[in-house]
Amino acid sequence: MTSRVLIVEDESLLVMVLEDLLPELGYTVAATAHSVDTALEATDAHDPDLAILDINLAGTASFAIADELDRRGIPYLFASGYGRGALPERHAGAVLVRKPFGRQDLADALAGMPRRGAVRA
Amino acid sequence: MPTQAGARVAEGNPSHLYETILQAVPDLVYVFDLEHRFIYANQALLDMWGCSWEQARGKRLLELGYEPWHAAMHEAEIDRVVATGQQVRNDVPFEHASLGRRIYDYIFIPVLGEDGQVEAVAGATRDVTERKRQEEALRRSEQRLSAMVNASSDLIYRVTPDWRQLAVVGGRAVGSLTHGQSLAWSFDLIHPEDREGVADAIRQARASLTPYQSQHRVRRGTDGWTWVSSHAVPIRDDDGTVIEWFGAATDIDERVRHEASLRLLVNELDHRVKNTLAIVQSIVAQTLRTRPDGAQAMPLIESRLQALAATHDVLTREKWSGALVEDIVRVAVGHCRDGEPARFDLQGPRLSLDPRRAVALSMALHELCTNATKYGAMSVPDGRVRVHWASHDHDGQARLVLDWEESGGPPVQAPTRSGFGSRLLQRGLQHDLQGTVTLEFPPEGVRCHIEAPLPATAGTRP
Repeated sequence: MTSRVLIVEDESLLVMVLEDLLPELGYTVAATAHSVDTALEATDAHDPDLAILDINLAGTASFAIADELDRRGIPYLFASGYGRGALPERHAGAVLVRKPFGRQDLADALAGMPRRGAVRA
Repeated sequence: MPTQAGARVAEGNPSHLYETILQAVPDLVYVFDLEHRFIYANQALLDMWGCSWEQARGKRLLELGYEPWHAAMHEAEIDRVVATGQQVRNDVPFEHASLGRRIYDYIFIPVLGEDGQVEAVAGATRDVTERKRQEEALRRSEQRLSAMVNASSDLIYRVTPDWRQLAVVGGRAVGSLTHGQSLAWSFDLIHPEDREGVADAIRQARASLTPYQSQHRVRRGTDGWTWVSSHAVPIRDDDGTVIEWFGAATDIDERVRHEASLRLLVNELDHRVKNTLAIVQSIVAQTLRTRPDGAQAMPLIESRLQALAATHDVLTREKWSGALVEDIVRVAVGHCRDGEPARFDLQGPRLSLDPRRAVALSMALHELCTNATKYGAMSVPDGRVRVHWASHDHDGQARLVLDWEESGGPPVQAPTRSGFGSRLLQRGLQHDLQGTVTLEFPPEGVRCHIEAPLPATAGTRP
């Protein structure tokens, strides 16, 4: 059974890249979202196994989504042009893939993710 | 005739000792009779004139080469001494025979006869040129210092050696401190977060007697703070004891704020550059996916990147606050409108889009335009493209409604596979605009209907 991934990204071209890449890497796209609200809705509706979060969603930080995913025990990684310094203390240990990322960077990061439920709830 | 005997004036007490002293002192010593004639001059005075006593004896000031105003001044002073019996003291510049222009301080005193009447006027003159020069230099230096302090955009202050008392002696006000204030030094003046740093700087400066230096916030009004950069140096007396600290504080509030906004800007720029690189990466990857042949893909990649760059130009012109729909439309269709503007009908009101939606719309229109040039209305001489847009009110929310309509082109055939362009339009644009995009392929020409919410206030940040 392939892991179902939620993509949270406000830039459509980058969503398209992920939509193409993820199936090639053996994942299914569960849903895409461009904002905190739509991401929380999609989490509720699709119950993904994994999430890829852009940090800056049209000026709003995506950390509230990460908080909710933590509560549900859903693992996630951040994909951002920002460095690690942009992460708040509570997410300082999160996996971060720097944009622009290569196919292999993403594959490695996803392969290293814990299974759903293995993360601290 | 008067004689060289100073002793005769000294009430008949000629003294070889006095004469020797008078001839040896560097001060000028002389005696006038009541008719303003020299009846005595010591060697220093003769040296100044550059003549011998025989030549000077019995002469008046004018005859000895004094300027008329100078001679008249002294003669009037002699007359005053004679009339009042009081001494006169003054100073005057004079050309010394060998030393050049000098300044002399002199005193004329009455010589009284046995009957109490003034019978001569004695004088003593001292060369005070050096002293005057030093006084003048000191005065100038103080004037300059005072001008500097007052003209300074810094606040100039003095602090007692024990650092207990602070006096503001000049310069521009900083925070709540103004010129003329004298107050007890207190850490209440300093922002709580900066107190430790300032205390350290003071301790270190006082211990090593090296200049004090610190950047901190000082109180401004009741609840405000101003950033200052403060420097002070110890002033010491001759035996090395510090008598006070003299310092200047510069208001650097604006600089600090500027630096903070610059840091934000650089961070934001970094994010945008990385995002743009990711977009470029995506464009290249998507194009190669549909055109695996590099030679075919290259012109498409170039054209798409140029459209992206042109959109960034529009946004930069507006300082990335947003862009007008009209500018976005013109830029996006620019590459196929060149030379044939008459075939495009572009119309719509002045509407502003935020940067992210502007980029999305521009990329989408660019794809429509590329398609029209290859297969649609712009592939034949008589084809036309109509782009009309408007703002519609939808449940109190303003929405952009934009229609792309081609006509006069070859009969349209719906594409058999979903290429990058249509995918970008239907999938991507919908996502970015958070609106709806309808792409239709009726035989008479491609149509695209776009609806997207307009920001309540134009130009929200991405």
